[in-house]
Amino acid sequence: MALVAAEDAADHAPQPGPGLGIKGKTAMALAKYFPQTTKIDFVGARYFAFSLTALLFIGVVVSLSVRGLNFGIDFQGGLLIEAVSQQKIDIAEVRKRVIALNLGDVQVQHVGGDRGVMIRAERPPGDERAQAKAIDDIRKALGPGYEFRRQEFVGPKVSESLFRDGMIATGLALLMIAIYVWIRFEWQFGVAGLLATAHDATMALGVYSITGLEFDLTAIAALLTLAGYSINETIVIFDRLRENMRRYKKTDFKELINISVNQNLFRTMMTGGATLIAVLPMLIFGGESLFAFTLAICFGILVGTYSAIYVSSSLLIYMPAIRRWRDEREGKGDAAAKARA
Amino acid sequence: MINITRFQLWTALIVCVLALILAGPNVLSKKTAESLPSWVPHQQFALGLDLQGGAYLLLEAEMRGVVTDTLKNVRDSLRKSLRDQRVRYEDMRYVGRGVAFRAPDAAQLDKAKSIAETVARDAGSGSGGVFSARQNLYEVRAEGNAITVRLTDAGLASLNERIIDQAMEILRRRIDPQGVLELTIQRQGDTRVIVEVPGVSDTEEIRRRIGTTAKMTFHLPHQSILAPTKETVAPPGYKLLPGARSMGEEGWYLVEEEARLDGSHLTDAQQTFQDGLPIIQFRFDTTGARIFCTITQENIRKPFAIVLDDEVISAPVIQSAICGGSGIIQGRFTVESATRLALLLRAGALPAKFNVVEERTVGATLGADAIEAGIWASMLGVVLVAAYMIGAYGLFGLFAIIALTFNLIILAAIMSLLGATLTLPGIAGIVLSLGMSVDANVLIYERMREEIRAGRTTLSAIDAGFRRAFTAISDSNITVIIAGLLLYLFGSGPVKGFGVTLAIGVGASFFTAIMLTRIQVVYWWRWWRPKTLPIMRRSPVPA
Repeated sequence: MALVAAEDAADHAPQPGPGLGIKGKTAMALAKYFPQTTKIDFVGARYFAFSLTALLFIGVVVSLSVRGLNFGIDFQGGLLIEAVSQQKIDIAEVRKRVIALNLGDVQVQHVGGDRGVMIRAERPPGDERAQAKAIDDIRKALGPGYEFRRQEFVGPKVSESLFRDGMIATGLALLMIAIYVWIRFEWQFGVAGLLATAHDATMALGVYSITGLEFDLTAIAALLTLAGYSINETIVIFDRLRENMRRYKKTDFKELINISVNQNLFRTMMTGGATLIAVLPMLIFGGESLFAFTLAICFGILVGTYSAIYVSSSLLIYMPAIRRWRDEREGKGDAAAKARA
Repeated sequence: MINITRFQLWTALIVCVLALILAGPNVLSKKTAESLPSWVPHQQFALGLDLQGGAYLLLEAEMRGVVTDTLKNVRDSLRKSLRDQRVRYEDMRYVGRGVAFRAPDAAQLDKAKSIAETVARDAGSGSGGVFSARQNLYEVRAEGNAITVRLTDAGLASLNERIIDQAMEILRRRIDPQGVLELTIQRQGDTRVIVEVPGVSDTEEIRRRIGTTAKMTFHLPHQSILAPTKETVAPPGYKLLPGARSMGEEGWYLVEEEARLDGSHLTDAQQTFQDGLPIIQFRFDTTGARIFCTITQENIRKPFAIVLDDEVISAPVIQSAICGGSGIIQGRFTVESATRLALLLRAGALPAKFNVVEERTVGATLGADAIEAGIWASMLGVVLVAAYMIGAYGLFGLFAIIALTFNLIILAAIMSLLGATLTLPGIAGIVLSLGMSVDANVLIYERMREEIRAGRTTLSAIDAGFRRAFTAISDSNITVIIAGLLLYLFGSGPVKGFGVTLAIGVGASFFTAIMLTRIQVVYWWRWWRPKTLPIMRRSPVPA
């Protein structure tokens, strides 16, 4: 490893500075076809980004506390029936008939055009017979001519354990990720990565709250997907930062963050673009069952990209100095630099 | 990174070919795949109910009733033994998971204790299964003159396990007596059972089948009409029943309408061996033993029909009076049929009350719509990504897409090997893993670009691109694999489905995006010795 590092350093020795690495005629000729490394001062503009984040965060918190989440029956318990008819459905008539069944809080709405209907009701009190009867009653109330596409019932104990299991799994996964990042980088990176991921997940939760999209088990899968994406983005930037910290020992940390983010910027855009392109057809043609999910993913890609650039790396500025790097910088690093000079 | 050893090349080739072979059967229809000879891989990965339509039910056993029943037996045997051995006892009652009593006579205390221990041991072994031999299901505690026989934690766990085991077999038999549905029944946690019935969207029928209590009864056959046929007219007081085909019992039986004994008295039945032949050992509770004793005394050398859900599952001939409460059934059994019969005897009625706590049905059309839309959209996504990558990186983009294709094939191969189930959230996991796979190649190519710009030759840029991007790719992939595995291990339902495809997909991507792309790029370089790389020719305007 030491050999490789030395070779790396030697390779880059003639480079005058970061981002200005174009050498020779071929490279000069090529330069018109693709951009040089960008030199955007991300760190300098961080207060703008922080205000934006803070504003969004407040918005999300307000929405979560005022509107809350539109929990699906997965987490709330209850029953749900989805049916389609050959004819246009008179939703008011259906609602009237279902309400007449006295099932407590009922929702009746169109789904997938005016020939589909979705009915959601609270869990009827009593045992499973009461519940089977409720489903039966609704089916009877709808009358003939319907095709039942979906019929779900989730008991209260199950909805609790579904929620708890999901949360435990997610929490453990995040914790293990932080530990891994700590081992491979430094604990500051682990904490920053964890906060960035939490940031993204909160924002996505905000989307569910503000749009009123149903928050069910699929939503958990969407949150997990974008957490995975966000972690990937964060680690790629951390990796560059780690490499640059080893290489440019004299450079200011904020400057290093800027260099690393800029070097990765095109990659970040390419990957974000490719993933968006892969998901967009699902959003448009994937049908209703995938819609909420893909919408959350699309949003997550944007937020993940943003947080990888701003949140995770900028957080490092406010962490206690990163030891390994500082030691090298003050001790070995200085010595090496003197020796070179 | 520029040297590819022969070993690496062969490993890559073998992995790809193997993946193609293993993933292959998924292209075939289920029937065709099953008709393949056994040496050809024919496993397919399963589609979740959200994709193929069907019913999902989560049942929960009411264990309280089971514990009470078990304790009632313990109490009955305690009473009987104490009375038989003339030990005075008082204040016998249930306490928590146990039965407590007092032996007021100090002289008899030791005797009472040893009786309690015998009862505890017998009750433990009587509860059957492979657990009894190794674990103490009941413990005896004595404080002063108060003695308690209590179900241990291990006892409760093994009781739960046995109940769920039995229930799973009974449920299967009830929901799918002909064995035509592709039913999955699995245990979830200690007291829950998941029943999945693909292709069925009406749960009413399933509920009805679960709800009907299978009744097991014991009948005496008609004294003279011993070989009735289908056309035989049953005389008054008798009924004609078919033999259970599933047990290899053909023909018909004419038995008394009224049952002499019913299955609720049977406490255990096990397959075991006698003189090397498989037999079934069974045991009745106290009441059952008394009735059984009378019947066997009066009907020696006559058959005794065991009827389950109006089918005769066996009609062994009574060889001698059986009064100890336990006996054996001999017959022309194979180990398998004996085990099955034992299970049925044990399993006649559902061992506990089961409640439906969660239920989902997806109509076949919704499932089909979902899968069609999903496949369509994913294909379009892959085509767009391919165009995007080729547009950005030219030939190298094509290399990446080839690697990506193998990523999908390897994923399908591993899922088939594991018999994993693909669900909608699983597709999400695949999309994320594909995104990361593309990202790995983007990282590598962008690094090459940088190195070229830094003035390196093509060969050294290729080398540096793979080498320097490696840490970023491995760190991010390993983190995501860790996350995927944890979600798989600790999550349930959709979270699990997501975790499994994510972990496998990213694992496969780690191989394809690095190894396969590298082999293609390196061999391309060796062939052409280019002065520029295709990634340098074109480039979309960065956003």
